[in-house]
Amino acid sequence: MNSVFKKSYKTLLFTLTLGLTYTSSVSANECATVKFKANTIDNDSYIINVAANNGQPVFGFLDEKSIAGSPYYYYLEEGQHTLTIEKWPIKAYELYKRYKGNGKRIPPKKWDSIIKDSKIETKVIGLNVKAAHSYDLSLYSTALDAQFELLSATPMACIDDVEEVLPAKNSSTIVNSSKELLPVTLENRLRQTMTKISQFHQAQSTKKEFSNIVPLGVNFEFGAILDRDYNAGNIKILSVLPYSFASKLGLASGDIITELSGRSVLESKVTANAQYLKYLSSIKINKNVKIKIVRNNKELELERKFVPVILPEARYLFNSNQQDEAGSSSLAQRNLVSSATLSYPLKFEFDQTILAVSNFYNEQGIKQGTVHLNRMADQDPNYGLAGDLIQLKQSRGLRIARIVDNSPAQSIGLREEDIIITINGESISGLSPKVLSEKFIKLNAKSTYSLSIIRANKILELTGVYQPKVLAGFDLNLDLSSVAVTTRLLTEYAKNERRIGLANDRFLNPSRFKQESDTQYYNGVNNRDQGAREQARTYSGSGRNN
Amino acid sequence: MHIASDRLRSKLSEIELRHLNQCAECNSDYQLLTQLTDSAENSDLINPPDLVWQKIQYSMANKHQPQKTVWRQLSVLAASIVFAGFGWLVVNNYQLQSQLELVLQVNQNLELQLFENKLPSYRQTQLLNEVRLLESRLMNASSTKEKLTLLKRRQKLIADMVKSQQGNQYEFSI
Repeated sequence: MNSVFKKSYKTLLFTLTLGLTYTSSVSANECATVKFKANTIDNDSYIINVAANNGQPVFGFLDEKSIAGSPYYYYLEEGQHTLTIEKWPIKAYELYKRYKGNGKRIPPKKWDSIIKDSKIETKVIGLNVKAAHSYDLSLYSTALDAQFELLSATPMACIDDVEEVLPAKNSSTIVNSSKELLPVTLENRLRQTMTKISQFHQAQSTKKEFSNIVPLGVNFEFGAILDRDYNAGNIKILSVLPYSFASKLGLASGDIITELSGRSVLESKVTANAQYLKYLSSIKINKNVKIKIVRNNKELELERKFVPVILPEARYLFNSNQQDEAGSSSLAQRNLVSSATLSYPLKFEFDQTILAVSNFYNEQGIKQGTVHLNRMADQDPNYGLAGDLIQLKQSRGLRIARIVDNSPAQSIGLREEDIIITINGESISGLSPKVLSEKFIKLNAKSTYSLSIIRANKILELTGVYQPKVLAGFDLNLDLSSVAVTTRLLTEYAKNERRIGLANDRFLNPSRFKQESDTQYYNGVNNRDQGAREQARTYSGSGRNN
Repeated sequence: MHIASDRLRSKLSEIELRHLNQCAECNSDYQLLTQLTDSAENSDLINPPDLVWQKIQYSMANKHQPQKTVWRQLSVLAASIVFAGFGWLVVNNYQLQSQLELVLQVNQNLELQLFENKLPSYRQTQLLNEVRLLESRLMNASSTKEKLTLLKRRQKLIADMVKSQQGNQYEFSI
């Protein structure tokens, strides 16, 4: 664990060096002042530290400036910012400062205890600031996982001798797509996903308006599960997640790993599984992963460069009052967007959809700036089922293979494997696919309709009121520049042959660890040692997955 | 009809004696039995060898220890049950392992058909979500049976992904 820390710490220093290059000097009227109020949670006082701005570390990790007990000011360039914020208990901060003040290097064990025993939590917020304004922020409740709220935004010039101003992101809107739609399947996918997210937030909150920032994510998952009970000496793969790095490498279920990067698994004194985990921990970005396997009694060598998938930062806003495109609220008008955690499956779906959308724009040559997608609430023209016509004893029926969530098909009570034989008493036997589709599509909203179905060899009658699914309206910003910045950062790491340690991950994706440690999912490259996992438990928020 | 052989050893009735005089076969059997009986009665008794007496004594001694015999029988029974149980476990485990190998083989074939596209489709993403949840359970599976159950469910999902990828669209999608 100590060695892990040392490496992480070295990488941290390297990161800080990089970070210094991303601050700039501006005049007093060109910057905004941001102030965080100290908070008390469960009788413990907490201080706020801005750890990163737009994915770049901010001058010095918990700088020696006296920020405890009094508000500390940050100076921001006018425009959009994504701030990674840490809440430190003052006790832990003072311990840290005591060592720093004495010019001592904190012993790794002490550092571990500071991290592990303290309730240090990381949040990501989106800030949109104007020059010559001052913004006061605070937690809106005393709960540890409380979000930030904007207390006030008042005109006020920066102090005169500001040297370190956090630069705004390149938020120039490259695509402003309110009417121009994406390709049909992608558009439908986006709308279905955003509708699910809207319903998720509605279930969680009574607010009519809900915004969220989903931080940029870097996926380090490997994607293969070992058979821990396999005791023939080698490593046996029990399953490989489709579309993961392991699957792209060529690994498949049932493969036996015999060599890791040229080293025989059998010849080592360490157990096969431990060797596997150690090997994953040694993988570096842009370096080749080489694995020899036995598959169906044949030896195969698999090799692929490890390049993690980067998911762009996304912000969205749902507003049930939104009546038109120039609605009462939009993302651009909001000064503060806090991050909220989505459910695990929903976040995975969101990440995949965002990845598909950004990939579409990348293929159009758009790789920088912000893609702004605005959609009004609308009725879903689809009934919400898929299936095939099948021959019955005396007629034909439509056997359902799939039902869409929250669709009219689901609300009337249809299930997969049901066979529809009539609509409103009319047999579907003689109808062509086109005519049959029209029968569903032409159902009038709020009209009563009935279906005869066969379920488990019994004929049932389903009756309901046709209510088309409502697709949520939303405002969505995809920050493609965030991917470019992170790619550059990762390339720098790769050049220096650095591993991505915990210290850097908190800038890239501060909350990813918590989710992985909670679910204990996959022996991912970055989830590779117990030390990292233990430290990661101190982080929270919304991670990203691919 | 002849006289039954067991009747020839006892005192015969008048009717049987009359039949004996008329039936050569029965008469012959009667004579033979009479000679055998006479011969046995006139023979000297033979003293059995010591070994036979020892075996008899040993046998008699054991008859006086019924408890030990019961325990021995129970031990044999228990050993048989344990052996049978162990055998059943070995066979059962072998069968489960064979099934596991088979499922892994099928899964492998499916996976190798799958990895074609750059990004999963919407339908595939939904299936992937289910696969991920299954795999998170698979990581903590403690028995071969549990692994087998999860891998079989996973197999169906991967098969559906392959179907979706191959463009085997449903006739209706409304």
